[in-house]
Amino acid sequence: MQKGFYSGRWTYAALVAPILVLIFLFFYVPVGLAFFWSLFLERPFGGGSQFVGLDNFARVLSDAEFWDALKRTAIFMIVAPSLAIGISLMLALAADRGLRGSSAARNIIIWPKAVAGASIGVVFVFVFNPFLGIFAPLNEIWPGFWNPRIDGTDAFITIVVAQVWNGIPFNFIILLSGLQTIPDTVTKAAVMDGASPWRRVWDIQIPLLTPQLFLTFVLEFVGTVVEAFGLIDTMTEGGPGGATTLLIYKIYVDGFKAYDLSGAATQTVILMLFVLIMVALQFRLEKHVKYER
Amino acid sequence: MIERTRSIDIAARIILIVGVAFILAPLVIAFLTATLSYEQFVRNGGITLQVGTHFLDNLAYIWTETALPAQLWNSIVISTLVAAIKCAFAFTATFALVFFDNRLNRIVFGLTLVTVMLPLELVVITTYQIVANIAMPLNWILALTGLGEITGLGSDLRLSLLDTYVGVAAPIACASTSVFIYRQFFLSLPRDLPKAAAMDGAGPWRFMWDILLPLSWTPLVATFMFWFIGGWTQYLWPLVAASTPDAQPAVVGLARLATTEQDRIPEVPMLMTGALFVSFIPVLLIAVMQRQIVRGLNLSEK
Amino acid sequence: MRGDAIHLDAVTKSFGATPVIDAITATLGGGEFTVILGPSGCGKSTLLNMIAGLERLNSGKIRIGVREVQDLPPKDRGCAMVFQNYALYPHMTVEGNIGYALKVAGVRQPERSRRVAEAARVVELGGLLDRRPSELSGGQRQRVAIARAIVREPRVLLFDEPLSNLDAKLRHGMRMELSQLHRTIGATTVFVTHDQVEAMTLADKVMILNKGRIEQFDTPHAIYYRPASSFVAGFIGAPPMNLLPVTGGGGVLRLDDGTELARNPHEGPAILGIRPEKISIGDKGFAARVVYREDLGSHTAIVARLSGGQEVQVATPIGMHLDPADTITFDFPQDHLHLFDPATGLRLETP
Repeated sequence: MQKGFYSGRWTYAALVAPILVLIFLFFYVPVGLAFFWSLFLERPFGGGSQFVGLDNFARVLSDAEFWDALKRTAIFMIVAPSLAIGISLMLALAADRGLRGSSAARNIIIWPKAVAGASIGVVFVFVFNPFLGIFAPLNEIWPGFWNPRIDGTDAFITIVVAQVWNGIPFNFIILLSGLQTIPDTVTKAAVMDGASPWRRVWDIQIPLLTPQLFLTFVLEFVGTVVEAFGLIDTMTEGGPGGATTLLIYKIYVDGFKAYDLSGAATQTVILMLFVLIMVALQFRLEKHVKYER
Repeated sequence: MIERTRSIDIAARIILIVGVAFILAPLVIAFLTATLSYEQFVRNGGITLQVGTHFLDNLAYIWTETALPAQLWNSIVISTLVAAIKCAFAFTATFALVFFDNRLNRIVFGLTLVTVMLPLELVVITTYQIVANIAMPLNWILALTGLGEITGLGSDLRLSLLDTYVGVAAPIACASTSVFIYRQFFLSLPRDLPKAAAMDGAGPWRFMWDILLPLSWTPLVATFMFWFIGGWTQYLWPLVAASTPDAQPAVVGLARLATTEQDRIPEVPMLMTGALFVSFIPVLLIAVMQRQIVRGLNLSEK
Repeated sequence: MRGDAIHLDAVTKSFGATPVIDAITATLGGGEFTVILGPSGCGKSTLLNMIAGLERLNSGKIRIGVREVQDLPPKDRGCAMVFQNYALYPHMTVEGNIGYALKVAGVRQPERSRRVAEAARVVELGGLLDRRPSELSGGQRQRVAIARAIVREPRVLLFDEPLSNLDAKLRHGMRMELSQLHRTIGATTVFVTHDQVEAMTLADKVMILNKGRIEQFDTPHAIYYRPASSFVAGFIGAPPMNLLPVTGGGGVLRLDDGTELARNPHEGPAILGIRPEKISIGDKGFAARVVYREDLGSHTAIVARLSGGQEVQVATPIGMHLDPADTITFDFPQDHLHLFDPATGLRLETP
């Protein structure tokens, strides 16, 4: 970091105090409390607590439902971001060509950012309804072709589609901004070297976009872990048969419906570590994708 | 440049059309359905391209018969609070980080960095406990130090922020992404600016107020809009922190309407009207202010 | 003259263990134009910032006039400064930029406008007061930065490489204007630069800094004709002075291979310095071979190699036709020689 000019300590304290108090109270205390509770057996209605060491972890880790939820979370974390980023990349490359009407398209593509997952979930339930929705005609031809209320895979697909819909805007903004900062001279040099526009997509644009692609992956990974909650809660409530119960939803149910505070806190800790390890891994990778522009 | 771009332009056009269709499809379906009366909807037996005449009727129903209008107001207040806290706190803190020479800079920056990597939804269980009794950390201190005995305060103070605007907004405002955006922006300013201000007789506060604040207008407006929208679309945390319909924001209210009466045939046109009703403010915002938001966030440089 | 003298007394500054300014003591005359000149990293900007009050001293004292100022904030020192990249406030108009210091100082409106207009008139900025910095050319921004500095009627005017962002032509024009401005205002002026032309043309006195120490602090004339050290000799002049290691004995100076270069009573090893334009080419002296030639219109610059392999730069009058590989004969006139101590680099006064 470059050296700052001012040096007054009290002024400095006054400037950073608000954010520190805020994140201490509403972030660090809850995070610390989750770690603390994962080592205790908490009674739901203030019945006191008892130190149990790693028993909570043993209990959670031996629970098949936990592993199922973790596995589904992992699959979801791979499928949804890959689709969202892949589609966003194609859209960004297309929008970057500056065709007539593309500024309107650019505007519309960002709208889903302003629509809550829980709100669009309500709409998607209807859109994917086996009898009223878009697949209803197919169901009439092949009965049972599509039914997310019964078929776990169908349900999972609806959540993925909704998540992708919700996730496109942010990735699109980042990738398009990245494309627009590719220096004009580089493009011109490639033209002089005889690279066609198609060729430049692969040889110039995507390679130079690696930092932004990387950024979108990091953000999407963390985002999808938690953002799916609003979709699941309004679309499938974890069903059918737990097929869409991701870890974030299971924690909510365990903590707020079953009042298993210690179990929920323990899973919270595991999920936090999971996210932190993923982010750390991705930042290790980052060293390989940075270019000097 | 003179080159043949026909094939790639056609491909680009197709991609954009398909993409826009995918984005608009659920919104259009929601709107078309929202224009139907329940009877029309049942008669159609599914999604059709018919534009009905009952949109205003449905809207009037939402307006008078549901809690959504009041909850829309809750959303406005909560989102404004979230955006204001995020912008103001991050602004002063980033000013300190970039323009002050202090050994704590690295630590403060690190502490804010972690809040970005662990979203609120992850720790919703324990955040709930803290917000249910914000005096809890104080109680620990009182109990651990014995001060509670000495002062007669005890160690069982209670102050619940559940069902309050601040209680819902404060934890959402913790993610300090703004610090990165402002830091990037401050570092791009001429380095001698605080020196010039010092020569003109302006100290750090005056510099922040007279020079940095007006200069930062673009990123400030953009982040404010962005966090406003971010606060609006929150779901899990408001769902648990606001248990009564009076305190819930509109997104939670809509989801409650959709999921509590499962046994009845869902009044789909009404629900779609509701979905549009709770979404139009942020969508309008992003559609109109898009240029400012994207430019101000400056996401190209991370 | 209403400028105050600046007294530096053992001024020291270090970042960590490395000293940037090493116990500098000097007096910058009241109302004089002092240029601080040195290569990058010599500490010249740090010294300027310390005079301005933008950086703390580790030890030492600074007096402006009769006041000790080293512990005063910038605004109480009576200094104003023009920055390298101007550091204009991008969101304020020209008028706002110039008047900001007055506003902070609580100067009321009609008075403020009057003084802003006056400062703008001095730097010929009239008519641009409503513009923003982004709408101005480089030279115009420069004028705003200067107007912002002089509006407070400072007793000391500080410049931190203010011309380095301008193109060559503008720079020449600004040099003349700055010189005139200094004569009208009369404030003590301290001007930091790494450009020796600016130093030689603007300064009443030049302070040459190297590694945090003063190499020489004197008039431009003295710096050119009597450089105090081999560093100054090699730094000033374009092309710079030729510096050759020689040994004196028996009234002559010789290269290591024995070539006799010039007559001089010095005994023992020394560094011989001679300016390129003082070397005469004729038929008496010693031989050298031309390796490179540049025709510059006003004169011809050549690089020649001596018998011992040393390269010497020479400026010759136009009209001499020399080609690479030609052999020519040099003469080093005795009264244009400079001798420096090979160990300390300091000037040796020939007896």
